[in-house]
Amino acid sequence: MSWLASALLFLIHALYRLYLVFKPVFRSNTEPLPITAERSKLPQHLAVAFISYPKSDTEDNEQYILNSVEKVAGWCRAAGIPQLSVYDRDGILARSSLELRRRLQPSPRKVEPEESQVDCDIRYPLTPPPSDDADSRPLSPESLPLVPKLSVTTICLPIEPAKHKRRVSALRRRRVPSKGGHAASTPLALHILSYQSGKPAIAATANMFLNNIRQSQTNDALTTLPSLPSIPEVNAVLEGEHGFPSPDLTIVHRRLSAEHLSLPAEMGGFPPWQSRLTEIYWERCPAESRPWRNSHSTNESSSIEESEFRRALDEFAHAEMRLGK
Amino acid sequence: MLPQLISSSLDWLRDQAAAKAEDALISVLSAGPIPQHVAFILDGNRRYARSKGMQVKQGHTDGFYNLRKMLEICIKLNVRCVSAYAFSIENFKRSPEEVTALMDLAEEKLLELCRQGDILDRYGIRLVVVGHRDMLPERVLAAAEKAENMTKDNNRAIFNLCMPYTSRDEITTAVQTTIQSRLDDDTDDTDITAEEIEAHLMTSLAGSPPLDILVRSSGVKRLSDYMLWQCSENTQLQFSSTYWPEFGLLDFVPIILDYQRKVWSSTK
Repeated sequence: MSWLASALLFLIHALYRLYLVFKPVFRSNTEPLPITAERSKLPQHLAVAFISYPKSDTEDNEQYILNSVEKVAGWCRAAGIPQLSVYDRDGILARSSLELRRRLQPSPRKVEPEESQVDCDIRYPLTPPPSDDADSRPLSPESLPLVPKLSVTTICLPIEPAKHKRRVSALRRRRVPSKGGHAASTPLALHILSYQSGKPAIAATANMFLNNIRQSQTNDALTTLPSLPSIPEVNAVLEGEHGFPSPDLTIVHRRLSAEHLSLPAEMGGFPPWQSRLTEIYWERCPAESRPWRNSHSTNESSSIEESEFRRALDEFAHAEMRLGK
Repeated sequence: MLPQLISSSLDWLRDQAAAKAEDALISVLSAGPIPQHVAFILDGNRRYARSKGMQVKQGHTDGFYNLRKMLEICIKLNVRCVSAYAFSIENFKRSPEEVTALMDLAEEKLLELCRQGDILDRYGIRLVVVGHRDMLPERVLAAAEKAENMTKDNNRAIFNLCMPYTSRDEITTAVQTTIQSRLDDDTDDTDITAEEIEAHLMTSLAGSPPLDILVRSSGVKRLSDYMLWQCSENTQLQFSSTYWPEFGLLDFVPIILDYQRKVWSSTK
């Protein structure tokens, strides 16, 4: 009878696939609100996790992700979202931080420090990528607390001068909303993350606490030993100056082919600690995977689409938070 | 009297037919790949109760019975491990009346679950209470330990009952125990790794396999401090709009189908 069960299962899958293919056709096609529209709630910290289809071309993926980050940064500034985190598992973004700075920062000669409303100090990764721990030694035996390798790069982008709005890379093709005219731009803190910013960063934090305790043991045997770290102490490190805070909303963006039609979201290694209360948004049917998409338009999908960003903001505005109560 | 007899006979026939259909559907689904570990966030008990004009306590009771039903469905599908977010450490912030009612329910149902012939015994399920146990009232802790002891030799499946639990508490506890074990053993001076912390998580210590699917009911699309570490990589996140007490096999079917599609597409 197992052949019968297999045959019936095959039939169920065939019907389910038909349902998934035609579901977007019957879905209500309400246009999402414009980026600068008034929403009841706006994330103060947005994250975008780029989850790539494993077999796609590496260089193509890299350009796709960089183009997408450039666009999303612009949309965040237009919407008034002051913090953006961008993630990819393999560290494409982390290795391209210079390229990102070039694309996202206005030309230095045009920005007068006194005009900037944001203290725009660029913070470089705390330690270089190689695994030697020479940088994690304390400066003195009395020990400043050791700083763990959290693998987070933070760039502060000042307010974009209005006249330079169009100086952004020619690769951007977003449709500037015509309604409301000229949107104000916001300073933006950009955190660049990779897999190393997640579980390995938690391990690095544990190492830091372990080394602190060992050091205290050797420095002075008479004083009370530091106790094992509490949740707030671990949090102070991971979400502190060298880490990044928890996003309010994470857009899980997947670049899929049609054979990965409408699969559920996966976090792809996005840092777990900071995902505690984050709203998660993803498109069940990403634009690229729709089989009836016109072939002439496939070249246009060289980055995330603005409509996805706008739908994410719309959904976030309707989310209800009870915080355990 | 006759109409009543006919009506109750028809109800019985309907229930029998529904049970047979459910078993048949489970057999068909089992012909394909089945996840090893499924976790549920049991959300929506209170909203369900309000929508039916019931008291909140009844919503939680219905939620428990549905948990038992879904646990049985998972076991019949040959899922090896089921985890359920029954009570968050944050839920202690609720009104004292509700917290007391939830603790009463926990104690009563833990004792019920480990009765002979009930689901844990019938299907050989080992119960593990995962969480910050010393926050539980003594009577609940006693019931939990009784259920764990009675089922410790069961080996067909694991049921992680997460209460009171938060993922940050679990991760921090794992960090603490990892650090303590290094302090106790000075010979190892290598750096602590993520794998080492993972091995100290409560779910790992219970022998749980990697998490394949996380299901949250009631339409909320957040993890709410549940299994953040375990589901951060390639766990499928499924957010169903159904309230937990109404979540059933038909809601679960597309979740299983999505898992099977993933497994088949990764083997191509």
